Amino acid sequence: MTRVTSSLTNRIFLASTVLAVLALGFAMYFVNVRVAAEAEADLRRSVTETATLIDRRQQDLTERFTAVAQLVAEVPQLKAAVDTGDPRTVQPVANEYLGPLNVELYLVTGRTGAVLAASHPEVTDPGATQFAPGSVDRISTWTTHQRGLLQVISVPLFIDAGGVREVLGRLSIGFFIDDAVALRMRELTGSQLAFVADGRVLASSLPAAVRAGLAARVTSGGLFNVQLGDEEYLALARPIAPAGQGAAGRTMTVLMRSRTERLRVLRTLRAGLGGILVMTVLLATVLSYLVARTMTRPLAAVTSAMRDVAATGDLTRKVTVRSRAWDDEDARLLASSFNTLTDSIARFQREAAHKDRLSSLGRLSAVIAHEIRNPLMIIRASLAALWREEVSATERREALADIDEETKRLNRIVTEVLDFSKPIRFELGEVQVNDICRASSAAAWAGSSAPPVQLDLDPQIPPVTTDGERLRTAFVNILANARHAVEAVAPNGAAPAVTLSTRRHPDRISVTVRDHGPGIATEDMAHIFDPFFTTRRAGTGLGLPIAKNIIVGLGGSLSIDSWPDAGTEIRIEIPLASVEPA
Amino acid sequence: MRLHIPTASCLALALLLTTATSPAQPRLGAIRGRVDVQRVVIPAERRPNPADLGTPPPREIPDLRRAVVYLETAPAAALESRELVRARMDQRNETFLPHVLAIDQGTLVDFPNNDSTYHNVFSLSRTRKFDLGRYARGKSKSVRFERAGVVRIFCDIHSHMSAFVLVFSHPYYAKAEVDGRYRIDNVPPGTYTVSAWHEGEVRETKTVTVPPQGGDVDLDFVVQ
Repeated sequence: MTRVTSSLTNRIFLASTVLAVLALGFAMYFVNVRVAAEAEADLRRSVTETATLIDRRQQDLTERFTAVAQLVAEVPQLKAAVDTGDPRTVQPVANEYLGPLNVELYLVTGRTGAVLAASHPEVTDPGATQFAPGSVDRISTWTTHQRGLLQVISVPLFIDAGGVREVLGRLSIGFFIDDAVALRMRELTGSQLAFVADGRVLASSLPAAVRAGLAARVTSGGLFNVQLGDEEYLALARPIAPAGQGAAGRTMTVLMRSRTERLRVLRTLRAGLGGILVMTVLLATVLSYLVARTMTRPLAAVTSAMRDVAATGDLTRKVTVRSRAWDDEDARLLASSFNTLTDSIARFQREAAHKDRLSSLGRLSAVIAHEIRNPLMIIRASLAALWREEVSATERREALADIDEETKRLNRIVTEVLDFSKPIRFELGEVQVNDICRASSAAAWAGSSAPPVQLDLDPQIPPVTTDGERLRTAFVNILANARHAVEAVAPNGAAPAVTLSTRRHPDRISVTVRDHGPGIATEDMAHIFDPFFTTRRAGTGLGLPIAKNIIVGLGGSLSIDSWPDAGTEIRIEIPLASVEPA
Repeated sequence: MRLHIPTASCLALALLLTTATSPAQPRLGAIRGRVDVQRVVIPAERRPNPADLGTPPPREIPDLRRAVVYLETAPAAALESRELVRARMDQRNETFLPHVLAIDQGTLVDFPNNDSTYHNVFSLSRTRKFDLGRYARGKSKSVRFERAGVVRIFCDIHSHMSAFVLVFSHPYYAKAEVDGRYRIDNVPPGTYTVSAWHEGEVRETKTVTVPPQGGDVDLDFVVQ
């Protein structure tokens, strides 16, 4: 995770993606919850409204047919005809008045309930005869019929003779609520409609296949959900008329609105939002990558330039930041600051090197001048002795000997200065380090009264590829220092005080020189590798710097530990095989 | 509606033969009594009519209480030829006056329009089917009723208007007064079936005997 978030690109990408996902997630949640709730509420509202509409229509129809029936019942001809009680008289009159009104079904009965006229010969009892003869009530009743539901409105035919209502008979007209009516209502309201009684669908706009499923669900009034085929409906069941009105009390008007259809819109909305989400995430990826690139590209350039500088030490290496309009300004600033920094470092380095060279040169010049002046003074004094008139043979010999010695010394100084200042060229070859150690100690102790070096040489040391001559020079210089140190402590050479040991390691050889001299003063430790630093009158101060130059040049290392009044230990490590520096 | 009168007239003819042997110059009696019409009569609001707004004329409700009493079986005297008379049924205040008209067979009935509006008089009754058409105030049309029976009269403009014309083949009938009293005179002695008719139906039938010495016989009816 840390690795993932450690990249700026990833961070920007993650941030923008999380932002996009959160924003759209909330939007989706909001839309889901709100729209779903709204759709549900709307569904309920529309169901209730439609139910009211249907009820209203039913009421209107009932009123209309009642009005028609009453109007026709008032026709004097019909009254006169019914009064005769003769069907042949009544039927033409009924046809004349009821025919043009498109009354689906009608029945005229006389005082006793005998049928006097009917819309169809087979219609005998549309429920009208159940009314008491002589009743003046207007009656609306419902009966189940094979076509669906039949509403019958029955009105009395009477003569109002000044308060006495003489009932001549009844006119009953009926109209069907069948599939056609339900379909028409569906066209008007957009809702499915069904009339259910006693677990049977009497009429419906629904396809026949799903009717049984609905009938089973309708037990009492109220809202309920029903799954019919592929569609889920919100349904509202209501009695078609108040209880007690024949079959109507048990007959429910069931109104259904498809929830599936309503939710289809929601599904489209969800799909759209999902699509937008995916697109946004993709876009966020691309954009964040592009934005991050404006930052990371200059940074990468800076990083690679830094790496190059670190690897090569080449301070002239520059970060090349191409000026792009979209690149990050901070990153560009960083790049140019880096360039300025390397420039400055390079300049400081040059100045420091120059100063160093100047100071070294100054010190060297002073030392050389001092070193040269002493022999020159001795030579001049000897020459002055030789210039005298009477010079004894002894005096002359001594003077010449002095001149000779001092010129040798001058020569040695010049040689060592040259050695130190010129770059060393190594000549590599296979050498036995132990042999070099023996030869060096012998050379260092030549003409000395001090006890010889104690050698502790590891016989396992293999031949080493190195420059034997230079190594010998380094060892001699170091051993000479050790000899001078022990001679200073015990001028008569009482005890063996210098040991030289060699040890083999897997990839290198260590050589340790230990003396028991006075040690090095703490304040001098910082300067022991400085050229011409010496504590001896006859020393040139170049021995140790030269030794170090050689060892380091051969790929080894040299370290010094010193304890005042206890001695000094110099530890040299050289690789088994030195390589010629390129 | 049941029609009793035509069958009654047929029966009257049959009875005629059986009573033909009665002694000459018998003493005639009379049947009298009261028809108590208890059928609820509620004075109802009149149907509103723009023509007589503000001045609703009172309806002659007592007229509706009047029943007709007649003999189902007529004595031989029924065959006596009687002079033809004219009867009249007025039309006032959207009402036929009288509401019930009892007439002899062959009577010509005038239907004058004494109302402020047009009226029509028609009947679909089998006894006498006719339609006088619509006619204006002051006009009158007539119909002769040849056959015995009940004829119900309507107006095709005013559906609440109706009236009855009872046509008899014999003279033994009487229309009750407003208080219900009636009297059928000149009834030969004998036993008779007497019916009380009211508003389209025979409400009650009774048997009565007129004694040989004649005199008044009381016979009351109650019409429920």
